[in-house]
Amino acid sequence: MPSSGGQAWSSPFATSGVGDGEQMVSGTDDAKSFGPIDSGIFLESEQPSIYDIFNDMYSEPTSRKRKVTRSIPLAPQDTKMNHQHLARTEQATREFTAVRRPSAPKPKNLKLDTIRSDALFYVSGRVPVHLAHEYYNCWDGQTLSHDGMASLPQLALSQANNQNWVTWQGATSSFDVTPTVEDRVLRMARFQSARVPSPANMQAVHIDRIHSAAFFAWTPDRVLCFARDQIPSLTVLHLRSLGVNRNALDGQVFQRSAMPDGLPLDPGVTQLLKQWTRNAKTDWQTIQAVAQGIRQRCQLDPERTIHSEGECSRDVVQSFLMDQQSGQDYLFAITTARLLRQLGYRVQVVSGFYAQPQNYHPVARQTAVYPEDIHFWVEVQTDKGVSVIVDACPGYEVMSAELSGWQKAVACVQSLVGWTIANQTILLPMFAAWALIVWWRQRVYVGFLTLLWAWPGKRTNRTLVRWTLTLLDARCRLHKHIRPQHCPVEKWLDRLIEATPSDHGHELLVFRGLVQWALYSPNTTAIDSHEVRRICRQSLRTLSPRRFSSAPIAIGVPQQ
Amino acid sequence: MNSTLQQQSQHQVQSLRYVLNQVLVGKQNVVEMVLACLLARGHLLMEDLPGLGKTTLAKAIASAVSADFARIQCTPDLLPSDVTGFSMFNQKSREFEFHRGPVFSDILLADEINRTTPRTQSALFEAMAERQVTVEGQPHFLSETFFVIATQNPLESLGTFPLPEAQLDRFALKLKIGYPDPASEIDMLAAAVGQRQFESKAIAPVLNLRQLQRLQREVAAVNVCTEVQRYLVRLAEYTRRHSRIHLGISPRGLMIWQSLAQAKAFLDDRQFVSPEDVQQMAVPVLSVRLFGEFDSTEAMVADVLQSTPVPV
Repeated sequence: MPSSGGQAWSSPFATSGVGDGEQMVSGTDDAKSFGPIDSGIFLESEQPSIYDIFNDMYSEPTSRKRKVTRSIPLAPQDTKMNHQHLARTEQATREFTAVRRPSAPKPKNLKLDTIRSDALFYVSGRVPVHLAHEYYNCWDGQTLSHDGMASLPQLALSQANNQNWVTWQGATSSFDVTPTVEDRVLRMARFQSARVPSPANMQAVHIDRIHSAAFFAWTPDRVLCFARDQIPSLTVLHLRSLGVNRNALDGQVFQRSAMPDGLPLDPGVTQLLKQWTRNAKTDWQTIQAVAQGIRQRCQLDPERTIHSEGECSRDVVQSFLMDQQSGQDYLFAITTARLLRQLGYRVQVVSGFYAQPQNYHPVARQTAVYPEDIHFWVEVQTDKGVSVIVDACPGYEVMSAELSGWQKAVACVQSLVGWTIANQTILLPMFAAWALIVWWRQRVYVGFLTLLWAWPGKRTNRTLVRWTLTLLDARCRLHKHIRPQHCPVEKWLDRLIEATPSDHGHELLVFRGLVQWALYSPNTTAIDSHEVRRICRQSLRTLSPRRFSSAPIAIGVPQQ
Repeated sequence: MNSTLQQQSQHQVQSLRYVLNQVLVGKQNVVEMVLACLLARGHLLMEDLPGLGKTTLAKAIASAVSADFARIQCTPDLLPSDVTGFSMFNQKSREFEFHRGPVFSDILLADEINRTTPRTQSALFEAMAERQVTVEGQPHFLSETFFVIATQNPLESLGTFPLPEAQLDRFALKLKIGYPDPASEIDMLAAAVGQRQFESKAIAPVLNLRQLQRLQREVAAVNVCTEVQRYLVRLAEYTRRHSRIHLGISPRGLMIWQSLAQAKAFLDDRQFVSPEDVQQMAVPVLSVRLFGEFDSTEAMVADVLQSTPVPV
């Protein structure tokens, strides 16, 4: 990435520097005036941690009241230490409480002159994308946490395209569900965390010049992290993940939780859940129905929190779903997780970042991720280990895998075949009827025209003669006596009359004149309609194709 | 047009047709074309061998419609003034007097027109197109029924001045009379018995010039519906974009074609034109206008007609 800084020159329109703002390009001594490049040095800074950013976004959590019980103090020689609280640093992961202090809305950016330089990192690749930062699988009614029991795969170093990639055992690609491998590049700017913002189903990570897997480790909640206090600014991370084809999830089985959530649901919420999932036939339809139900029922309101009035007496999910019906994005995620867990699915709430398409810069071809892009969602897993993002929050899209033309064609054929098999009882008779109509199309057309001709409706003489001619033409086509396109009607009629032995020559000649009149004459002289109908009917009877000779009727062009 | 007048017109046409068929035995189709050309106010080019009845036909038409008849034998030394006329000083009146040329007739036979010089041909073509001649700055109007029958011999090309394509466009149609069939020739020989050589058979007039003009006006009033006109335009477009046709039909040629189709419908006792009328007039109309890489004019016209759908 090129840089525009370092020479005491800055421009509010500069787009090629890191942070694409003035602060990042104005200093001559600050190494940040250079953009993140693969060979960039690792820097450290005294910036606030990522958790301060979370609290800035969602306001401060409330402190839970400790229960104090009356007790009698003992002498030191009579006491014995039989248990102790885990120190906070030894806890599995950090917690996130859904109950927050009400606070006045804060200005989003404290430094007005650096509005555009607040990006935490930049994403190159397809957006929108959900980048996980922390997983939670425990919920006690108010607080999300992780039990730290995730299985952590072994990290290994492998070579691909002359690059060192740190890989691990994850979900394998399949033609239908995970058909594509997606590469993204993260350029870290003000991101003060060791955790790697990870797309779902991430498979490998690469940083230039790092040739040891020991640079990475797993957090207890199974998030890849950099083996330092934080990922240094200006680090460029290449991430490789599997894209999920969300249209192919209908036939997948999703993992069930061995131990369902023990917290009881409000009867009203249970009723809602039954109503939403009433018509769902598959796991994926059920999951989608729940997300859709929440999305339609509740509204996203970043200013509204569920806070305790003295003591937390009601379940957060119940308050959100039944009372408030609006709130922040983590309430959507927690509610989705609770409801899916109630249905038996294995669900994790994820906090992380949502790279929005609105922040895509077409010149830099990257998407900036700001502190405001912190987001909560839910991940479920198929029985084959594929993580699937479920985001019930309105306004947030989940991107499906980008299929190639061939994959799209195959998917289209597969869905068509599936639909056909599912509806075969209706389709087979329809197809048979259609085939018969196509096979007998000329007979059907002649039958239709005959009915139209015989219909006792009111019509002009001219219309009647034209319909008679059309019917005669169709009948002749049926018997392979096709009028050439260059042959005038009257000449064709002459040939038909010649080829038809009949005692009604006069009527046929009159009909020939009527055809000429109907087609080319503007004259509207009154003609007896009964007589016209009689002549037309007689002509149709006489000029029956069955009476024509089997030899084709020769019709040439006039010669002098 | 009321039916009485229509019947009267058809009766006159039938009489004229009968007279001409008596003169040109066994050539009903040619007679129909000549009649159509006369009623459409066109001019006729006959390309055929000598002795096939061209002069006889022209004289017969003139006699049948009570018209003045003139003949020009086109030779290389024929001058424009020999065609249009000239002014001569009258010694008695001491004034120049205009002596009218053959173009001031009602029906003019220009025999072997390709033997005269282009200068003289041009003088004749001005008269055909404008129906007037200008001599010494003075315009002279020709007859309302001025009708030219020009002939040319297709075999002898030595010492001829072939007519350019632009001038051929002034003719409405080109006809070939051809030899009569044996039966017609026997009838012709039988009719000649007892008749002196070079003694022409007197033909009684069947209509006068005023009646001929009325017939021409009635022909011009025959209806042509939009579908048929579109068909004509499609045919013309096809001739213009055909890769093997060097020169397509001009708008003037298209108008003449429509007039001839009107005349054909009128001769068939109809007051409207059908595509068949257009097709029947196609060969004589197009053979004088289209030039292309075909074996024959008939093949070229057949290609044009077969490639253009007929409106229904």
